[in-house]
Amino acid sequence: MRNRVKLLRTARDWSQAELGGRLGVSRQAVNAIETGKHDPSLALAFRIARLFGKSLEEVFDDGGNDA
Amino acid sequence: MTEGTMRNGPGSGEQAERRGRQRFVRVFVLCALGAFVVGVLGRLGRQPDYSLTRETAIALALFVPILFAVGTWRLLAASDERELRHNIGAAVVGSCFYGLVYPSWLFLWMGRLVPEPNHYVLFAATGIAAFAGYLWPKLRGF
Repeated sequence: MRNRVKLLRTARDWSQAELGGRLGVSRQAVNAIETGKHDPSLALAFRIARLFGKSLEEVFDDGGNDA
Repeated sequence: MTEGTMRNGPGSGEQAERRGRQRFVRVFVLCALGAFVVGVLGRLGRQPDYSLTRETAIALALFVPILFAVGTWRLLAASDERELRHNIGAAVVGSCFYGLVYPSWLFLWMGRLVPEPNHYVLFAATGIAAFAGYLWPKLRGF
């Protein structure tokens, strides 16, 4: 799943550890999410979107896959 | 400049992330210390024929399950969802390994083709398989 987490994080000049701490996850988890290797749970995805003041769809994009 | 920037040094998020990491490492070190105590107790209570004294056997039979249960509980409590996913994956790999290897070994032994299944070997091999299942996604960055 594609996402704009890295873009939104760097726009705030935050490090991965900074974002991880604000979300309650590790720096490695943030890195795995940014590189698309880890799809966050729905709860974490909502936390990420809320932290950046965006809707879920503005942060995450599943490529229009309805399946 | 915003709080917690890459140029300004650690912000509140970075400090929280570091505290979380330290909590995880602290619990891990305590578990490792507990495992070391088990090893020392087993060594001290060993008799010349490699059996254990009754007191040591009871102490270890109580201490090891408690250490395992409490250690697992505290480690998972200090883990984020990615770490949790890796641990669940490791548990699945370990369980599948045991479920595949033990019956085969048992049936081959019942057919008098191989020696009787060895508990120590099975336990250690299952642990190694679970650890490999834990490391695999980590090494691939998942």
